[in-house]
Amino acid sequence: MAEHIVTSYEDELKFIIRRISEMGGQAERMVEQSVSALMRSDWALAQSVVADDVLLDAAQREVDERAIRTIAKRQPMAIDLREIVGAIRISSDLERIGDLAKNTAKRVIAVHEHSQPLQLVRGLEHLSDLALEQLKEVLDAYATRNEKQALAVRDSDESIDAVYTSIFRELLTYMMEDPRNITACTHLLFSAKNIERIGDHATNIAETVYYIKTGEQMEAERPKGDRTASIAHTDVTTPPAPGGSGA
Amino acid sequence: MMENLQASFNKGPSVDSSKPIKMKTKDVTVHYGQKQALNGITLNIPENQVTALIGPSGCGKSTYLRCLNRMNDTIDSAKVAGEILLDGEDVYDPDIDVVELRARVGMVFQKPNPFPKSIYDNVAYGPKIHGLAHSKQELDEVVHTSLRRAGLYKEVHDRLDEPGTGLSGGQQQRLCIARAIAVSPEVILMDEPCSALDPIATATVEELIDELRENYTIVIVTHSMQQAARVSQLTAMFHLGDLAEVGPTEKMFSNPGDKRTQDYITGRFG
Repeated sequence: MAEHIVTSYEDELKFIIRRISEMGGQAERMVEQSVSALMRSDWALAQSVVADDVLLDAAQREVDERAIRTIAKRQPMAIDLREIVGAIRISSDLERIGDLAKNTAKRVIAVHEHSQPLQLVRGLEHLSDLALEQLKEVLDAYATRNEKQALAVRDSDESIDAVYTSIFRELLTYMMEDPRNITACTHLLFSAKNIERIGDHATNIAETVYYIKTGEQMEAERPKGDRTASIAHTDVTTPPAPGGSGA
Repeated sequence: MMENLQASFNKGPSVDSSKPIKMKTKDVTVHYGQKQALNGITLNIPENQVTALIGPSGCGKSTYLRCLNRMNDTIDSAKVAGEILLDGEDVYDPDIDVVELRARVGMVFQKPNPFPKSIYDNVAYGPKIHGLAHSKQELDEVVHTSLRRAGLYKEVHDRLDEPGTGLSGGQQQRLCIARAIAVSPEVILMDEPCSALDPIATATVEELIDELRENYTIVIVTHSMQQAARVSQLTAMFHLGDLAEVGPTEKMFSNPGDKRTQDYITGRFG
């Protein structure tokens, strides 16, 4: 697209867009590191994630301020207006992703203090791989303004929801199996929820990218795949207690 | 409460497609001597709506506006062709009375141009020459109503005999609007009516335009994208004598279909 006649306006827009890309990279790294810290019980790595969140928060405030200043100064129209409103929305989603990564990182010690079934942590790793893939795809879609890629991201969020639902069931099972698992499992459950929410924010970003590019809102809300809200105690298969006849 | 909120959301720029067409123009071309200024414009002006004409300088929007009430007749070298209908009646029909046409299709210009007469006489002039008032009382009534509709009455009611040129710029422009509506026009053409006004006076005139569309059909030429977005329901984008795009204002400014519109409203060419 042709550049603006006013070069400083062009510079302001480019700055905001570049800052969003930087925030995206940082959020991605934080998610990756928080899960990695959880897997390896790496407290130092977890602490660095917590520290990085401050930077992401500051970046979000900066994008907000710059965007508002540009709106006031330039009164943007059409694609420019969508870019700026989109930047405000995306930076807020990225900031929330950072918060969720931080929250996961904070649980590293608590989880580490308790023994945990390796299988569960693996499930969480798989979940985070899926969420990270979504985040990477949506950031690519933003960088290239590719609305088709954005649509694909929105549509594949269901797989994250499905894995989350299965982790939820598994964690419940382990908690019922042995109450000593409850603390660790609860922390893992919150971590899983954090990761699932990261997928939701990636979906929000996908919707924003679609709007920036096309000027239209994405059609019809996707089907909600997180069915944990309706899982009852009786839905979970309780393993037989050692030496007992089962519950 | 909800209804009120809904009403105020709907008040803004949303084109009402149920409105009948007040003016139809088809393949309108204008030549100034050898130079072609308009290359066949086909555009419908809906009744009781504000239609904004936008585009870079020299794109033909003012030329088009001036065709609607035959103001181009005053320029010797201007040749207008094509079809321009007001309620189905050919505006360029040789039998039509141009003076009467200009009463039906009034005009407000860029620079406020009150006559060097009193406030009262400025507004009374049109009704007098068109024989719209038969007594002093009737004339008073027309003058007062027009000033009220133009949102000026409260400010000037106690000094109607003072010269119109003594008013502030914004008041002068509203006086010109009062003068235009005093002859009961059906369409009001406005050629950048706020470009010589400060932001407060501009806001007053814009508020007035929004009120006026209940009774009149308005066509406005403006260089302010924000103004077009605020006051109009339909926007037509002109470019180098062509009609680049026409559509509901809300779509034109958030998601235009034509690249020329996109580039113009986002400041990518001048």
